[in-house]
Amino acid sequence: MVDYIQIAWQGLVSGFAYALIGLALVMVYKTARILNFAAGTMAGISGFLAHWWAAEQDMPFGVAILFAMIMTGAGTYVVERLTVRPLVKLGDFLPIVIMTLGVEEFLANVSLLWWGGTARRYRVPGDIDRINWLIGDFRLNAWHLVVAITTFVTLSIVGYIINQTELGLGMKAFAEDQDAAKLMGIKESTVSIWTWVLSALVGGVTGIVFAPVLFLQQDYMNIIFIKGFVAAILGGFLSLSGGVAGGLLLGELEAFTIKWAPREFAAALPVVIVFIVLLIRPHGLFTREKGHERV
Amino acid sequence: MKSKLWKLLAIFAVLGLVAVGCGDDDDSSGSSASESSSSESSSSEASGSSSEASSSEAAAEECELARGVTDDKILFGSSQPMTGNLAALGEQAVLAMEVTRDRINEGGGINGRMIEFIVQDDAYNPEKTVSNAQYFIEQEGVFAIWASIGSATLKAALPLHDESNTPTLFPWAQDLSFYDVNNHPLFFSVNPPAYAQTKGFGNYLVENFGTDGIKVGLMTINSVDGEQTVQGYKDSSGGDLLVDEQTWERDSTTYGPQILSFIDSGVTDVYVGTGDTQFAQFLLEADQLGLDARFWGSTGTISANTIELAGDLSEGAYGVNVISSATGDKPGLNAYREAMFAAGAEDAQISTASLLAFTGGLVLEEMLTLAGECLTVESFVAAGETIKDFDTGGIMRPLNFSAENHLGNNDVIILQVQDGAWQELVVGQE
Repeated sequence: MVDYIQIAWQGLVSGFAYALIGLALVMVYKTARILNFAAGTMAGISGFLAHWWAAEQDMPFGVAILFAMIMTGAGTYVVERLTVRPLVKLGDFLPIVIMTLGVEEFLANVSLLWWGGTARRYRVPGDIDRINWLIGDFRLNAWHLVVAITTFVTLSIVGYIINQTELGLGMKAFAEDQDAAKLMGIKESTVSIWTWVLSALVGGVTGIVFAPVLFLQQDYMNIIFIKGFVAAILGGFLSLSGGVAGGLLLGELEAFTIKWAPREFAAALPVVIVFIVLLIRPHGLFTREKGHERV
Repeated sequence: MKSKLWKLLAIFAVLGLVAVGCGDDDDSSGSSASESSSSESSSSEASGSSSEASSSEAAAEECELARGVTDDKILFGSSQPMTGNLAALGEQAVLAMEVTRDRINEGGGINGRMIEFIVQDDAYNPEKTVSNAQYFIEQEGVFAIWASIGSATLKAALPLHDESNTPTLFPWAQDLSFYDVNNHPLFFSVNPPAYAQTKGFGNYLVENFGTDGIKVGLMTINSVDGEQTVQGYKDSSGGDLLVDEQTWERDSTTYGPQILSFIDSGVTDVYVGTGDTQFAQFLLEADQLGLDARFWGSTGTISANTIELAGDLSEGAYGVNVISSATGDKPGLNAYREAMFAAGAEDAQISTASLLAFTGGLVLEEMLTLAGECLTVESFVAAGETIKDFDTGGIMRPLNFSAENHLGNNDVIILQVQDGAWQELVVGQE
């Protein structure tokens, strides 16, 4: 039994990363109908920035993270205004997607030139990422607990913003009907920019919290991005809670199939399962056919 | 902080230069053999009518230089994982190639020709490696593909190299099929196949730890390369001790499930065929989940960065290598480190990836020198096949090539992390 719990926990930890990135992707897509292909690289840069402030500029750990998040938010604001906003006005979907791919390439190369390709250890206070507890036969890593707590806090904050703030109201309105929202006097560019920033901050948190797990290396968040993308599709791409649930489900699928499936199929099996799910429910697990799922 | 700003400015400057450079492509890439011959002729005319000049002219007329070779340069291409989770290895290899190029060029080149190379990123994606090969051969007209990384990637591109008469030189790639001289007569290597490495590991394990109570687990990449790695172990004297086979994918984010399987199987020894970053992550997760075993890493795991990333968890880990420890004390290794540090290498870049590229560079220099002034693919290959007892200063045992064997080195070297550094335990052969 402990075996199952241990595997489920391992899958859940991976799932947290997919869920957060899935959430970040769905947030932007649902509000602005834009697929942000730079989300993974942006999240990774947040991790590098937090490391840079702490390890190279001798900032305290928490302050370094704060600075990294401020830079992530500010950088995203600039990116949205300079690259995405002018294309949104043209009203064509494809150029924006291409633009986010361009932004991804640019940021990846800047990151490579700045920090190089060699992986680095992201040190956390007290090296708590190296502390393990034994609870009966169940083994719990201290940093994994931090990952879990961070995920729940992040999801709670996002939930609060969406349900309790004016920005959230605007996001909901645009998610339901963009034209109606505009007629109601909600300013599209304001909702869009703050959705981008919020999405980038969620990605940034993911990049930082998973840096000690995956090590800081070129593109380390791009793998998470791809899985987050699959999670978002699984969830229906129009449901925030679906994106999160899709991520957690994918993490579990991976963990259990690698453990028990034959080696030839283990890696491919989660993708096959997602494929089958999408054949049965092309609009995803958590979105109704016409995409009128509530935020 | 300021230096970072300068770096950012430098990035823009480089982007600008690339844009300008692209505009010049049409003019510069057409350095064909006929052009080389004609420029050689005209320079001979200018030097007067001595008999030496006449014989040189005659030789030039007889010699049709290979593609990518001119009077004053030899152009190579190299496909490397410069992005993705093997980017560190690509970066290390390219640095060693730069060190080799600079050493040769600062010494006046080889037969008056400078070395130049172009690197293209393939992100360890075979499709990109193929398009890189097309670019190198069809657009840039390179002489050879040098020091590329990756078995799966090279396997996809090698037919293109062979069809276009382009030598494939000293890659870090180890698929068994590469070493068949009849099928790949232009392939030269100092890196034994993965099959040989795990076979050497199995033999060493039984010789040194016996068979009593030993249970072995293997974790290899889910590819043909991984299958050959497993087969090599099965064919070793410890083959019967294998109790658990696991695979990993390039997009793996955790090795937890594989580790839990190893725990279930009760393994005492785990061989992990990955890069250094993945091995460090594996050691970290094995500690988290309580896998109590001896850990054995493949060639790619042997770098200072494994120790930096995994810290104390790397202590006692073994490495199965084809080359001496990059941090060892031998003349060749000392020269390698001196050159690498002079070129700006960080400690983490003193690794198997850079050392293999550096060693391949030593052999490449010898082959080009022996091939003489009239450098053709045929003269180059023939020169390579004559190399015997080539001394690398202790990096590898003396290298030998022949018409039947283009793999100069067949060593399997066992290393172990002791007191925070890789130490050489034994040098043997498969």
